[in-house]
Amino acid sequence: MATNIASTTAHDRRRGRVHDLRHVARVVGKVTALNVRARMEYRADFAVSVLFGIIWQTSTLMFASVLLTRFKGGLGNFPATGVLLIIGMRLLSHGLYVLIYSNLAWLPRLVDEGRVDGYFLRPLPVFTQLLLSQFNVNAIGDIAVGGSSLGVALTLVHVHWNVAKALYMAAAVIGGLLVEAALQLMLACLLLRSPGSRVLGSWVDELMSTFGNYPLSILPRVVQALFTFLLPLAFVAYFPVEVILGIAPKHGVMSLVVHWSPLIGGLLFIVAHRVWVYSLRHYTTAGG
Amino acid sequence: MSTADDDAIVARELTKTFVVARKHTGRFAGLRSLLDPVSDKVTVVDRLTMRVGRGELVALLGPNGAGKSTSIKMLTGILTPTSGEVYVDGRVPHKDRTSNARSIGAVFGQKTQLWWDLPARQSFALLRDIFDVPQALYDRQIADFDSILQLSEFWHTPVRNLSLGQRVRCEMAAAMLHDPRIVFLDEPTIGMDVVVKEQTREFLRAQVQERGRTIVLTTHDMTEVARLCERVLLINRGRLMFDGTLTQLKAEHGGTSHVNVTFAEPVNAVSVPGTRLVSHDGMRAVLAPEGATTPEDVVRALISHYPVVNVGVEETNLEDLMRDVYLAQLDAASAASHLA
Ligand SMILES: Nc1ncnc2c1ncn2[C@@H]1O[C@H](COP(=O)(O)OP(=O)(O)OP(=O)(O)O)[C@@H](O)[C@H]1O
Ligand SMILES: [Mg+2]
Repeated sequence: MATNIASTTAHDRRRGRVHDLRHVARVVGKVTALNVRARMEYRADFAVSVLFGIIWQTSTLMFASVLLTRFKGGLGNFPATGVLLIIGMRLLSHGLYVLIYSNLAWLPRLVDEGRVDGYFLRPLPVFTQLLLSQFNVNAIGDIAVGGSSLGVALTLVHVHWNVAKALYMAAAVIGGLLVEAALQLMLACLLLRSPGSRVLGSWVDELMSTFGNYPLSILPRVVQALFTFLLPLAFVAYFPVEVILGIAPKHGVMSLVVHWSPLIGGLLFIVAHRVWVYSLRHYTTAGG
Repeated sequence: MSTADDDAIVARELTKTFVVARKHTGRFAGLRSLLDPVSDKVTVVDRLTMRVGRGELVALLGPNGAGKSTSIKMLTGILTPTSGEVYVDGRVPHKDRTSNARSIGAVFGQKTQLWWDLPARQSFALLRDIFDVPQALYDRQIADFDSILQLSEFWHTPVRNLSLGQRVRCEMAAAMLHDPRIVFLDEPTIGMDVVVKEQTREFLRAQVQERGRTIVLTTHDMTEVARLCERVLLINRGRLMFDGTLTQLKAEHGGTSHVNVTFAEPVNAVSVPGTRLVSHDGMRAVLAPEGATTPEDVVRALISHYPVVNVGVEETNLEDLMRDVYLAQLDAASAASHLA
């Protein structure tokens, strides 16, 4: 009994630190490092995963460049280089999303294995532990291709850069990543209720990678509206690039929405996280 | 009513009801389930009231599907109860998750909480960081666990490659690394060989006696219960059926022993006052003494009234006792539902 009491006072002194962001950051760093190392043990597997990511995204890129050489004048109101900028920003956002949040898609498996039960038993948010459950190697390929195509786009596009614009673009990349994270987090909440909703996740993924690479203005108005208000793909790269290129609407509500588009991701994510916390309270585990 | 925090665990009228979607069958079953969702409510834990004192080692017993794991998940804060109250170490587990995590540890033998790709040793180190366990305590715990559970033989192997028995031992160490006051073990000895089971029992006894931990465990292994636990809680269909010592359970459920008798010639009816006839087929019969009747009374009565050629007394083992108890409760429950 004595040992328990002694260690508890020690714990009490340290308790505050757990909520300290620095402590969480340290844990995140350590777990990630170990996860990466664990994946590196299987070198061939690691290399194939990275390569696959690169090939996959490069094929998207090739399709786009074929399209752009055919339509030298650009697509709709968009210059060809602007389209490339959309692709670069979206791929980078997506790569970062895969790096940080793609374990969300594994939620049903983690529930079945009882791992999520275990997350309830540790003094870290369940969400954080979910994200730390494994390292996604293919994110490396995604980010590499995203980063380099963004680099190419930046050298080609006719924009007068300044600090504000650069920051705006960075915010837009993060906003885009959060839009995707928010959507998948909402779906994860659904997954907690019925594992069958898994297909929905890959469908959203598919939609975003198919339509996300092109200016939405080439699509019918109804579809544009759907991709703005229902599946808010427009906020990922399209709206911010309109602003960067100086072709965003100048007046009205849409002007406001488009200019503030990098914020939308953050707002959506906050809402999604609320829903997540609520869902956890109603969590029913796998039997056992 | 006393305050919540003098006992390790207090549960009052704890209830868990699951809503289960009823599956449509036949044509367009999937579509109909979607358009016309019908759901049933199943009460899996039904007004469970219990207390566990500090430093107690208690077994939660019951047949498959009785609601043991569900109860443990409510006590650990994984599941939010549908109704009722629960306090563990003075806290409501599902409301105060982070501090609750510090005072409890749990192992679900059929599931894993260790990092799959990492050697157990690295998982331990990560848990030390997550729980912020002081290095000195950590070193002591690791040495302590290793000395009884012999983990160092395999703790450099990735968890995915461990045998079930090895993995569960690591799980147990992982669950107690942060020095929790209360430990929940759901089928901890699953997949363990006899030697390891004995090690584990020794480990658990030490945790209770030397560290003052409170342990609640579930198991289907009656030997384990007999060797380890003073007190047992028996649940069936989510309801608490018995709370007391094994000796009391034996006493309450009649014959801790059976009298086997063989007659010289077929006997039509065997009847001895103060006994229950367990089985009878002409030449042989098995009787269970009830109430104050002792096996010796039965033997004497049999010899004086029947043409006995052979008679023997057989102690009921715990396994049989449990079966009798489970079956008796099943009968009682179905009788009740027929009446209703
Ligand atoms: N999430 C759930 N949804 C619906 N029913 C559930 C759920 N989890 C458990 N059950 C049901 O609740 C009942 C009790 O399950 P539980 O896992 O608590 O039993 P148990 O006593 O641990 O059994 P065992 O000895 O087999 O481990 C079972 O009938 C099970 O089917
Ligand atoms: Mg169980």
